[in-house]
Amino acid sequence: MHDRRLQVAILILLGLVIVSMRTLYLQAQDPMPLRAKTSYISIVTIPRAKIIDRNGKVLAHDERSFDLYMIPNEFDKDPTVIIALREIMDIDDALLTLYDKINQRLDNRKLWLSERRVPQLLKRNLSFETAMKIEIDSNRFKGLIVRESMRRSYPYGKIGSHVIGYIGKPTENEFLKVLEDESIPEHLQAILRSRPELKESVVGKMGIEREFDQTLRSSPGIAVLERDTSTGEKRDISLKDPEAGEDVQLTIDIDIQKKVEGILDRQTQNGCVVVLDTKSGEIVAIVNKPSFDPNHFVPPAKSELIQDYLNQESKPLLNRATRGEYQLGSIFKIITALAALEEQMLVPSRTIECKGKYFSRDDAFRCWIYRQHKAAHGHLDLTGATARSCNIFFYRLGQDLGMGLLKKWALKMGFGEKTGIGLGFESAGRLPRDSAILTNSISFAIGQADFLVTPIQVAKSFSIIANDGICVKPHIIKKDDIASLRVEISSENIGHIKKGMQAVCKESYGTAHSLSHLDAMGKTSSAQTNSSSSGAHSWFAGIYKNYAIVVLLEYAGSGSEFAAPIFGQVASCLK
Amino acid sequence: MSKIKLALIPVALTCLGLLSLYSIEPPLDSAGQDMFESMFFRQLLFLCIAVLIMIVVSNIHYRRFWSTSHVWYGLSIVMLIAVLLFAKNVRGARSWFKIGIFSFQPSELVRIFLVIVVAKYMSTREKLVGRDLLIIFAMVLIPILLITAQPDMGMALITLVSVVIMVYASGITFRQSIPVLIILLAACPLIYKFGLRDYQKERINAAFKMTSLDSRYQVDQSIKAIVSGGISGKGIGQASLTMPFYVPDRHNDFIYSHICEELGIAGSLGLVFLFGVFFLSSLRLAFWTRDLFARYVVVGLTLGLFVQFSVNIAMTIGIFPVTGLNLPFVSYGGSSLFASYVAAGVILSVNRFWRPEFSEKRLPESAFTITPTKS
Repeated sequence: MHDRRLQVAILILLGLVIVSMRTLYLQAQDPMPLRAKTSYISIVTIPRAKIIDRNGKVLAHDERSFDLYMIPNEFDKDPTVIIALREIMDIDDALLTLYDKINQRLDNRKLWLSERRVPQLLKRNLSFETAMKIEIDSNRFKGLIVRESMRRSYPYGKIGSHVIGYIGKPTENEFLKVLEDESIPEHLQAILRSRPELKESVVGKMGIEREFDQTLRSSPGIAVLERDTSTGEKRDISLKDPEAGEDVQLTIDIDIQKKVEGILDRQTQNGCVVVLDTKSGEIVAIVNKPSFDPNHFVPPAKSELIQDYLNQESKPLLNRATRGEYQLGSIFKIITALAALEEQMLVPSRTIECKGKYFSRDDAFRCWIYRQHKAAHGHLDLTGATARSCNIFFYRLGQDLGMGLLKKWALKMGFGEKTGIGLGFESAGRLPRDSAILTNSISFAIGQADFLVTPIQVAKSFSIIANDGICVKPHIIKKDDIASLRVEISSENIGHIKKGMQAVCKESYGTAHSLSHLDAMGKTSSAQTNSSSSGAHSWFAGIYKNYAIVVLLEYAGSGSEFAAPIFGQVASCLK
Repeated sequence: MSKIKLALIPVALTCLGLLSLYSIEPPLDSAGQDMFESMFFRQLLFLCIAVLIMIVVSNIHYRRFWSTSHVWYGLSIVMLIAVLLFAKNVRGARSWFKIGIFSFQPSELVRIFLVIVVAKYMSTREKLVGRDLLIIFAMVLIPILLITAQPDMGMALITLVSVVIMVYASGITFRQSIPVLIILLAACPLIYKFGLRDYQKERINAAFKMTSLDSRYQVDQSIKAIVSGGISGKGIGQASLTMPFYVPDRHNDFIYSHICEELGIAGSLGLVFLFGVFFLSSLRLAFWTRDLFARYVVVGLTLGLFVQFSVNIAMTIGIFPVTGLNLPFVSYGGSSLFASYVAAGVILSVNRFWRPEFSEKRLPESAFTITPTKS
């Protein structure tokens, strides 16, 4: 008590010791955990791989474009920036909501604070002038950054669009799938989920872009940009290297495709053309009319344009060649004849008389010639019946064969199942149901009844005939190992069939004698549709050199009148 | 010897502060700007003036303060009322006069005047009794309440605490101090409830980690800066100006963390050492002098600086609430610097003018136990 001097001195010493001890304790701590917190995550995007045609011509690739990024912290400091921005570009509501989203996206406040210091994607695909204006006048546009980026482009536009397909923004599910694929560390998921670079990444929505999305897609690299604040040193730690996608080469020849599209464009009716190389199974051209321009679908896409495509009654997005289901009609007579020959119910020399009418047990049928001219074909052998496309001849064969054998051979020739050429959403067509009703098998014999095919199936069956029974699997991706299998058909019988098909084109009485200048064979068809008012589908399927060519014009009417001349034009495009 | 130490240490501390300011805001970067726009040159100017003030004050005989203490007391009250009436509201407080380029905070000077007034009162008593304590308490309470009204709780608090320790050091017994202690203890919850603004409550809570991350932000940043500096420090001018080590107010209240960040142990221990030497030499001076008034004044001023020093550093290292008190001699700011140098000047005046033969009274038994020393 008596020595307060000592107490005061001790008080002061105690104070000095406490503060210096605590300071020393702090200074002795490892500063590294603090430094790790200065990291930002950056996403390195690289272009999506190309799609090229059989000759290496580029059908789809990523072009250079400009993206606008914003650093929210700096952007918010100066309210005049948004006014300046309004002067040089349209800022639509979508853009502003995107900005709001950046502000709200992260509920974790600490993350949110750090994300506000990182450039955030605001708008894709600026025009060159806008990008330059922002770039040059960086003082006026504080907090805005222009970065180069990639934009999908289809140089041929509408040409081949159904095969190439298009890309679009991923749906929520697709996006989550992308995240899984990239095997991103869990603690980064929240940030990456919020970043537009991935959200705005594109996925294939149709055609090759969709089927080979995994192949084409380049997975972005993820890097942590660490800034050591004591030295100002920057360090990139790559968490994941970007992986480039692989180019996809198609069997399509874009030049032929272009010519054929020109031919089809001149027609008034919608339709499609398939050109198949029978030796290699390569599809050289798939043309559909109407068509669409995949460039219109590249984000940021105009939604009115897409809506327009979706709403059109003619369905421009439909790949008719692989997905359209049509009545085949007379072309099926070839299969009927083949079946009859193979099942030894027909010898080539046998003649059947066409009286214009045909009476089965429980129904009456007429030949087309009776319907149109009240006439009859008279006695016909196989070649003559094929060339003239006589119904009665094949009704008779159909009655003999019955539904079971007809279906067996339809299946053998590739109908009723997907060809698997490598495009998604392919349709399998439809074979008639088994039934004991004779009428059904009689009308199936001329390709009517409840029987639907896709044009690509027709091309496949004709390639089997062209190859004397060897079925080369049709495909659209260029590859070396070609799967082929033998269909058990005697080449002798195929010779008889071919003879008939040649007569179709060569002989003066053939339904397609307009093609007599070509060394071609084939078969016309005017397939009756369910709605009698809208007319028949006009078909021609034929073999020219080593190509199987199928032409279909929807509701155009007679095959010999409309489809056959187009076959001629298409054939003349092929060297 | 003692005199040189007492005069040089404050200057050395200010120079340490100047070094920090130089790296926080390099003055030569801003070409074309008025030189006195930069904190460094302004502080350099303040230092020159402050040293002049210190020399002038140290040449005034400390007994002059004794004889004029009522004037200082009156002046204190007038200044505090004036500042309440006329000062502009800055960051929610009316504590500053603005005169030209200088800002002036009266409460800084009032602290010194109060020490003189209390010292005079105590030195005139033969023996301090309980009643004296109440009188001292009442004397001190008026200016402290005025400071609280600004509101400047930090300043009010350390003024009160330094007076309390000063009275305690004079040798008062526990029993004598009971009434005052009761009043003080009773006041604490009331002050917390009514006297403190929300942000002040938050700061108290923050220091004891009772609230969200946000209110601890300043302290967290300060601790991060100290940790990031480590043992060796980052070097002069190398402290980061960017996130995440940016410390708000680091030129002022948080200058200690900046010194630690740049200079490491050398800076922190050096600074604490300088302060320690200053406090202890000044305390030694107090106990060497036989003049009761001089002794009380020196103890009071030293404790005032000490409390301010420890509260400031305790707050930068996260063991005390953020009070808004700066570091004497080191932090940027004219009026705080001047006040600290005035205090140093008064201490130096005692050192200079006290001679044993000037001792007018015998020391009362109840005061410090003295072993006479020769000067």
